[in-house]
Amino acid sequence: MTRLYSFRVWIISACLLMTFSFTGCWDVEEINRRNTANSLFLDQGQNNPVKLGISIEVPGSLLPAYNGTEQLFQKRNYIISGEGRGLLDAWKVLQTNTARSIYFGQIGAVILSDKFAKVGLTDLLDFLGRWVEIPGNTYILVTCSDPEQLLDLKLRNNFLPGNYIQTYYESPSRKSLAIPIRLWQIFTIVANRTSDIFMPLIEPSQGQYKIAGLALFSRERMVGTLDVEETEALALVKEVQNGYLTVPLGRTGDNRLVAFYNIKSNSKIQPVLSSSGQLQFIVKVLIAGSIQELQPRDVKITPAEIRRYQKAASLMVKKEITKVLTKLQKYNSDVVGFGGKLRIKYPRYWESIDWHQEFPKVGFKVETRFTSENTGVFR
Amino acid sequence: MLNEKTAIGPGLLFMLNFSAVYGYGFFLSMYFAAKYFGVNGIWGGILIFILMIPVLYIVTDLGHRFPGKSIIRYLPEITNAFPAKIIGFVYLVFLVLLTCWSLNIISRIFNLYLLPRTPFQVILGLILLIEFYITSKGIEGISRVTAFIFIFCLIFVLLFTVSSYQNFQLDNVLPIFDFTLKDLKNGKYFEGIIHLFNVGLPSAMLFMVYPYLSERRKGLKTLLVSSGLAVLLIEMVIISNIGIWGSKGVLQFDWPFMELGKQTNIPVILQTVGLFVLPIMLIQNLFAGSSFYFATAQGCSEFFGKYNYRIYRWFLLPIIFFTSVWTTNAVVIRSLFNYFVAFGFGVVFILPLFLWLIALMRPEKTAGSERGQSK
Repeated sequence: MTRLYSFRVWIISACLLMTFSFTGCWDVEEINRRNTANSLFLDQGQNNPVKLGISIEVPGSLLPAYNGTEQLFQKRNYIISGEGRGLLDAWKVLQTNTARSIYFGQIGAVILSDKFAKVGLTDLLDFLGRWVEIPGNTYILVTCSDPEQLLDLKLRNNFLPGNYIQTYYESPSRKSLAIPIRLWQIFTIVANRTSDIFMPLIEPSQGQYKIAGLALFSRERMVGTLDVEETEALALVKEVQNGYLTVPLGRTGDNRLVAFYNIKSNSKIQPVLSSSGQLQFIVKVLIAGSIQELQPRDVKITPAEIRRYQKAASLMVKKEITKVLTKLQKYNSDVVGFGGKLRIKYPRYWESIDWHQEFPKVGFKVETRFTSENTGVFR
Repeated sequence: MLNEKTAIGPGLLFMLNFSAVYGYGFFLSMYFAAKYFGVNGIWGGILIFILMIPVLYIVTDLGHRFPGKSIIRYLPEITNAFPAKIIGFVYLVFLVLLTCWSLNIISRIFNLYLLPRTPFQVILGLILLIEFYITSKGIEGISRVTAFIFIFCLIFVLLFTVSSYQNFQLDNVLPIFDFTLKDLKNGKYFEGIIHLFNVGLPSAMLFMVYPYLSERRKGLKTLLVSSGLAVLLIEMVIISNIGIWGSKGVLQFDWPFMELGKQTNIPVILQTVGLFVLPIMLIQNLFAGSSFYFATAQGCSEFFGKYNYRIYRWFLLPIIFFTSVWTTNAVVIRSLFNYFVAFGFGVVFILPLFLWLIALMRPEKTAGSERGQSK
């Protein structure tokens, strides 16, 4: 009985002691004494090589407006920035512009200016990678406009920039033009060196943001861009789901078309090394989609017509993919991961070559097959 | 012959061994698998288990040959008194180092990821005090607590392990076999075997704990199944780690498991699975450390005599603390670890094998009679 009593005293004492830790579940520094950064940008400075800035929420602005009241905050975020010789140097300057300590754990996106991305990512990756707080799932994007102005935009839906980008990408109906890449994926690509980095291009549009294509990297430098159509073709090779595809059925100026939605692709890439040392990749892309639009309207599609649509879509996709692959070779940017396939099939050959010297010289044989899964509500 | 009157059944031994192998071996195995075997690191778990089988067999076989005796007690019966003293002392030194290293792992993770502003020494001291308290409960108490949390641990670990496969890229673990003669010749694979055997080092504790087993008939089976389960869970995370980061990508990180935990989530339901799993992993490590602490204290008690293990816990407390905080430099610790695993391989794999062979060669009469006693 005495033992049970003693045990209870211990339990109650332990519970009481634990209450001290409840007051600061984060730290001794409470949440309201911190600045929570929701996005980060990097650019070239005016007087220094690096400019680093963060978008911070206005304290209190995250509370929703109560019924019958108005949201008091017209704009929910502001920007602070700093310049320096390196990223930490810029960070040091940035911190002097705020009284609160900055918390990085909620960063949703990192935006790089194209000028910064063209210089190289080595320092950026080291800085971001060593910072424990930065989530590995943070999205990385490139902009050709001023990243500071981009993040300082008052979005029409009053979202914070980082949250906007996260919501865009995490929507289950995301489009094929938005091929996302996260921080941890960039680390993986850079470490393994069997492919190159790519990043979505983000630009302001209609008071909000739009994805305007894809930035291509060769090794760790940005070397070029793909437009939206090219990005969609690349998405098919990279098996990014839920896309759209509009296929013209006549010549230029002819309005006849068939449009598919819910595009899904399955690609198989096979390297073939001939005895003469010539390397070729056979790219087989199987695409499936559902008919969503037909001009002129036809509510009774015959099997022969379906085959014609499928053939037209297949040819168009083949042409687009070939065009994109040629462009990738021109920029020496293997964003598809052909190097990885080569490493698997010919590991010894892979070890003996410098992939970036070989990639522009390899041949491609593209094979596409399109399948229409259904015709929507109409027959 | 036992100082303590307590005993543990096969069930408790199962939980204790699982906690020790998983809690200690989990944190670094994926790094070493990727470092020394590259893409073939996916076979790391199987290799670990194969290496552990002879050690577990020797633990049980010597336990049967010398019933109710720990390694410290039966060493003089296998070798002469003087070599027994030296081997016993070396074994105890290794147990102290194992306790220190286990403590170091958990403290470093706390310091880097959870409490960056708290001094490393404070974190280490607090965790050591917890281990000190747990150890006071004896082997039965430690194993009962590990049994209490076993189901929670298994559920969360399985949840984490399965969800860690969401970004798995098959290409990163291909080709399945990519062993080269060059790496075999330059000793890279051998070095890898020694480093991967780090997961098997908790078996050193079993040489002290096995005499407490009440049903020795089930000893080998219990140890094989519990080690197998722990290694299987480790193996699954080795595969998912290499499958996600690639073999070279894993090597970027000091603690690959923590980085995996940061990015693992169950979409829509749970964004931070790692946050839930981390306490489980750390608790497992805490119990692993406590069992090593107990084995060390018990070993000291049997080796030096005079006091029981509770008193030796006090003597060991400053030794473990100061040895653990001797260097706070992460880079230095990593290079020291190479010597530690080599020492561990010698003490836990080669030395027991050597002792077992000598025990086999002992005069049949003595060995037979003692085996008879065990039955």
